[in-house]
Amino acid sequence: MAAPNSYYDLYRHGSLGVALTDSLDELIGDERIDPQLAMKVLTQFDRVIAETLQEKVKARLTFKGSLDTYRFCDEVWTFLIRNVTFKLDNGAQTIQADKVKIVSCSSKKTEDK
Amino acid sequence: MADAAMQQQLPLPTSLAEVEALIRALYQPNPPETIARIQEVLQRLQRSPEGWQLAQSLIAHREDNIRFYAALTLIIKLNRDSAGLSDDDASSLLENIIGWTIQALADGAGNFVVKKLCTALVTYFVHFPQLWPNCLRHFVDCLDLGRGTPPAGLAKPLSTEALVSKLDRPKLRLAIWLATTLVEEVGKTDMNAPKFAPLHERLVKNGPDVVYLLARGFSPPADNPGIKTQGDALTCFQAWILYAQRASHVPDLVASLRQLVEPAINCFADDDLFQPTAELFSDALSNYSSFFTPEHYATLAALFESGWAAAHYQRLLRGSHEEDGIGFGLLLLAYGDAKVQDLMRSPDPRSQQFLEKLSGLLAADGFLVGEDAIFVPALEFWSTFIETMIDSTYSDEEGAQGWKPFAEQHLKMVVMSAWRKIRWPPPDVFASWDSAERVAFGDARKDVADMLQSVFTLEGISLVAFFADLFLQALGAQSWTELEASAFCLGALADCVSDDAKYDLELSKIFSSPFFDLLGQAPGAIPLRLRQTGLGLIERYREYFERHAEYLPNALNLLFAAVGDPVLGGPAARSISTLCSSCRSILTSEASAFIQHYRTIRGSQVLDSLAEERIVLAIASIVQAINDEDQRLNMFESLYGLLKKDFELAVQLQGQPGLLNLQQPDFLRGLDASNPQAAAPTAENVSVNIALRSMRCLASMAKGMQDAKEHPVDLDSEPPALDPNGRLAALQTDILRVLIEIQRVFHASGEVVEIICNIFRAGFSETLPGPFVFPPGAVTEYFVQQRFETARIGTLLSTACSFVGSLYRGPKVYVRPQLERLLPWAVSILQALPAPDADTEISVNGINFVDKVASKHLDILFQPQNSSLLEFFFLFSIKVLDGKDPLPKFASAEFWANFLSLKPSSVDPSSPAFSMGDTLANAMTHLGPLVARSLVRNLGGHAARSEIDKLCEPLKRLIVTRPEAQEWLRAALLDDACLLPGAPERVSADERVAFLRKIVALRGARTTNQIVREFWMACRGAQFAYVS
Repeated sequence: MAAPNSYYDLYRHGSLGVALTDSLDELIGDERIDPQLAMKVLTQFDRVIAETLQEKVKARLTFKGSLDTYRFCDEVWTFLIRNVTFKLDNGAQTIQADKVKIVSCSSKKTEDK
Repeated sequence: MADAAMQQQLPLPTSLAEVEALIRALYQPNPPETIARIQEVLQRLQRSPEGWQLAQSLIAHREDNIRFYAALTLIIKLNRDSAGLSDDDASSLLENIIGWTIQALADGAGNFVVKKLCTALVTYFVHFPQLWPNCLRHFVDCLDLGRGTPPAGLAKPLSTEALVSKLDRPKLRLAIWLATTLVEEVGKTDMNAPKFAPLHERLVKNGPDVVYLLARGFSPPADNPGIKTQGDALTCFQAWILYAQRASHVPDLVASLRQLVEPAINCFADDDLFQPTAELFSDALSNYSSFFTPEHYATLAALFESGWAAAHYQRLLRGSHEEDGIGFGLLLLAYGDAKVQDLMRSPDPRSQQFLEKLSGLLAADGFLVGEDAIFVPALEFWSTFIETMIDSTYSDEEGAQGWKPFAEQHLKMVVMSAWRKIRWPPPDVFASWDSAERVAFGDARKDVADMLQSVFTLEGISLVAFFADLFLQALGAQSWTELEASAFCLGALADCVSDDAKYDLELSKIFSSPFFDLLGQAPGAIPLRLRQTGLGLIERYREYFERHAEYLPNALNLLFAAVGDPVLGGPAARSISTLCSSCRSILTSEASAFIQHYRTIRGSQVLDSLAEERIVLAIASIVQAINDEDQRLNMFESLYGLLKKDFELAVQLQGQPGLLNLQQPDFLRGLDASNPQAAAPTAENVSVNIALRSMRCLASMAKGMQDAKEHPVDLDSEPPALDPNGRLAALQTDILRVLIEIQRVFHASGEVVEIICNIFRAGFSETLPGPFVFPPGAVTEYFVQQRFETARIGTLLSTACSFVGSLYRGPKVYVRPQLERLLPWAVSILQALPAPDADTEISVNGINFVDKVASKHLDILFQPQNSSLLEFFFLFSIKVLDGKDPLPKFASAEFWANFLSLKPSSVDPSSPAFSMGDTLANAMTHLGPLVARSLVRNLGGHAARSEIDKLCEPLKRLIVTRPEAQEWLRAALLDDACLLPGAPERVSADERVAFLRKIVALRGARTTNQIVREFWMACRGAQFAYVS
């Protein structure tokens, strides 16, 4: 996981992070940027996406399901939930899923508290 | 060429005077292109070998802008050319820069010039930390002397403390600026990189000197009262605390910095310094609470009990947040956040009084959020407090929960204050807010709803009873804003309580109250917001209405009455649809009345299109629940008949535009709802709008007619054939005829096709006959009539994929005849594409379709009459695999992964495919090398990083299933043309063979992906290893 003094890099595996990495690869391939800059861009991405999700995103949803498995290891909670119904913020719309895995890491840095 | 042109226009200056003129011109108002050209020339000068000399010549200039440029030139030269300096040169350079900095201060140069020179000094430190280890002490020494000295000459017996005490205020401030820039700039370098380890080590060793500097900086200036240094000292202290936190293992530095906490707290006493001091402590308490010792916390706690704090607190509650800020409130909250566990568990008066102060922050004057800015941060603290209570409730032994009654007392205050605060302002006040304030108000209410859900975990039914009482009291007093707030809070708890009957007693008090009579009265009797929240409450507690059908008709009547309202119509229609869908089986006797209600509303006004769709969905879901088939079809026809009239009108109007008469209500349904006042709508527009509106309603009907019950599924038995009776079959034929006719008349409209697809899909998932569960033959017939030119043909292909899926779930007898007709059609659409990447949607869905057919009916794929189609398709999919479009590439990779896994024995034993192993083997003899080549081409560097995992799947299957795969892959790997240009030089033939050996040995194991990733990286080059 993330070093104590940096942000988690888990959002790099989301669609935005994957697309960003592909674009950086393309720019490096075209010799328009060097890898050091790409690395800095990704570090910046880690910070900005974590902060933006925390501060700017106000949409929310609730969900119900059967908790199948949970564990807490190295400051990471993992929940496996079955037959999950997500209810979105706008009221009636729901989304069903047979199985959902939730991985949650502390938003506070490890030495904070 | 562009650069050359620029150089022609602005040659490099030949004298200092010209350089100065250029710098002056840079800061004059000029067109952007002129400024860009000047900048370019100046930058070239800075980078040139003469840069050092240029900086030296300009650094003592009387003009600040020119001095600033000189300081910048020094920084650029240090960053670019410091490697070329000998130690002696570097030492004299440092001596000079220090001298220039001191001179700039003495000359009264602008602060921005002096600070830039500090940055130049720090840049020097970053490049030569070994030559300037005690940078701060040396700099202070130079300041004392009034000139730069060689760093090696620093051997004075005087301590740093003594040296610092000799500085006058301007010099002290300059030293603090340097200390600030030093920690900020060094902090930007990577602390974990070995390259920078010595730099950070030397920075940390300067910690004690910083403490001497700041200790003096925090003391009030007796020598020169005009220059305060506390503000700069606070900024510097904050930067060093941040650094210490990030560095994490610097106990000596942390111990040194802790000595400064008390002097920093004293800055609160100075009104001018209050904001930065509060910001420093809020920030450190929130992010680095372990920095403070118990003594520091005790000092802060005592401070919060002082008269000074009481005055600040009162200003926060009763004053203007816009003018005074909320710094003090944030400071209290940060302290509370840092000590939340202790505060919660301590019944002592000091802790309890502090918590009272924090709950009091929720009751500041003014409306959320524009006037009362402290509520949301305070609510955030209380949410943390509640979560801590929940954690402790479940983790503590029962006997160890003595803290709980005390904590619950605070919760009551919090809940009450939050309830008061979420009340809507008067409409004129709300109207005066900007959009950001309105959104923030709504978000704050949602935050309260979240908090209440957490409180429910602790308080359960008593919280519901609390709000039910508030609701009834407010209703009795006709206090509308309080009533709305109570209804909102009850609505927030719906997810926690609605499916549990033990709360019904409390809920019945609400739903049997006269409130719902009030809602039914004419608009204006109660405020719009209250009506909105009241109607929303009905939807949120739909499970309650399922258990208490006696309240349902009244609730639905209320909702129907609100459907025509421009503001309430949308939410009311949504509530109707949710409620009718959930309670369909107890509403079947009302179907006829609802249809009549809908007919009446339609006749009297033009509803919002989405609201109408929801109402149609609601009625259709009730119709679906009617047990008697005849009665069900009667009701269905009655509803369908209303829509059919619209279709007929749309078709008629399209053929005879002269019929358009906007005085007739039926035609008004075709006006553009988003722009009803649009000038002169044409008959064509009106007709297409009428058709689309009714098509969407028909799709809603199809959705509503879906069976909501879960039926037992017998996995061993054959699903029954869906033979509709004569009446149902006629109905289906009629619906299909209408759909086809509408598509024919409005053939240019992609939306029509899309809605038809949605209608089909609604039927695909059904297991019982119904009006939209069309016979498979009819659906197939519809698809094969569509041509490449049909609008949204890609969507049709995707729908055909869903159709195949539904066929596989149904009776087997239908499957083969449909697939035999659909496969050639689907491939013919792909054949019509001018290039594989011409239309992503068609490529993806076409490949998916063939994939679906191949997975269960390989024999249909290999039927002799399909041979040319099949040959085309295989080559097409390989071209797509070689292409750049990611989605078709993924579809093709998946197809090949599935196709390569197919064994004749894995298909249905009754299928002719069961005995076609030879055909499959022959096909792979031809296709295998091509697939292998395409995969190697991708994994040899051509694919994007994100595509590697998807492409590994067919590779793994190829290795596992085909013995010849090793040879195919070897041939491709050893062909340099297959790899990315440059890759053959980076990855030798031996390395490629070793890679092949590894992946073959892994036999499709998950580790293959990692090996492939490393190979891809090796082919791309080391510069792509920047991400793990």
